Amino acid sequence: MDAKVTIDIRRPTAEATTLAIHGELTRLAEKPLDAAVAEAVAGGAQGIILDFSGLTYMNNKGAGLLVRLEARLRGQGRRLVVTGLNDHYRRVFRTTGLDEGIRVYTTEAQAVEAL
Amino acid sequence: MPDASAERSQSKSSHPYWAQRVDELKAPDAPPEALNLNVAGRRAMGPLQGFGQLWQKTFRIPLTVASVTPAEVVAEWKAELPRFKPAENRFYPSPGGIAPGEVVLINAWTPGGPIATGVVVLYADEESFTLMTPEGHPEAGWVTMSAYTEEGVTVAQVQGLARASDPIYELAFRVMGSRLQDYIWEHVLTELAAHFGVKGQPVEVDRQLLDPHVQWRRAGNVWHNAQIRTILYHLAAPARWLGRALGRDSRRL
Repeated sequence: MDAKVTIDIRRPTAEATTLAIHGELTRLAEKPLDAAVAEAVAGGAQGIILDFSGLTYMNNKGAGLLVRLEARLRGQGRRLVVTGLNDHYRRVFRTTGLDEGIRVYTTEAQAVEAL
Repeated sequence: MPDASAERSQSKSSHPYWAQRVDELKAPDAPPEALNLNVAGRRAMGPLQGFGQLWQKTFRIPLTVASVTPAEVVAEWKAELPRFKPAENRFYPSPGGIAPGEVVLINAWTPGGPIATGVVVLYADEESFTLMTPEGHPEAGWVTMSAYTEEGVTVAQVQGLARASDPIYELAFRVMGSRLQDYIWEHVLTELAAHFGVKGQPVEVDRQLLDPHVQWRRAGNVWHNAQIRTILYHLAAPARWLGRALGRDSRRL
């Protein structure tokens, strides 16, 4: 089964890379997300911003991907933050406790500044 | 007539699958034999909020010879969850069953003594459900029960993504290992498979240490340690009995 997600990579600053998620964050998104993160890290990113403005769906396994990614990046001395969450997924972040390890920002500019 | 694209979009929404946020859990009505302790008033705790090393443990069993779909497996799993657990690890779902936001009480016996705790259903859809732990539970995190098709075979899977909640539990996991936990999930999958007529199939186990560091800023989680509180509750039983007896006597006077 193919992943129903595309990920655009932007570099707002030399040290921050934004991964714009379009589509669904499920277990099928693991490979595309890992590939995008690897590309960002190879490009020298010290901070990664996940832009969820284009997120259409996230299930429990998608949330698990975020936990694993946060742990991996933190182990490398990098930071993971998110932006662009709609009200529903902002609540999901609070309910799951994700927001206690992954800072949530309203705009990409705020996320860049925080990094 | 509803717009087809809107209907598709709505049907794909994850809104009904996630639990609503609550600041404090409410304990469900429990059967008389269940000890309803360490759940009411607690916050739910995810894998980023615990103390110990972060582990991902995956247990899976192919349901060979059983012609069941992942949705059929998960429907049965939700309905019969307590039945698949080991005898010393009792689950008491609330009347709402395995549905987002519902609470399942747990009464277990471990090498460290008895423990009364619970879990909240964080997420539930047709092919999976995720349980999240409350403060004081041995682990802070999620455990996801799911089923999927792989090469034409339906596979049932349990995946835990969690840290030990506090330093005492972390020490216990490191000293004792997580053999008890492994035993529980292997038992659950073996019983689930047997329910569908699959016997003798080994459970595949995969353990990954995702973060070897502990989170010292979470050491204060020990305040809610459910095992210590359960043991204290049992030790205080004579005093509670005496208090009730004296209360009865004073009412007679």
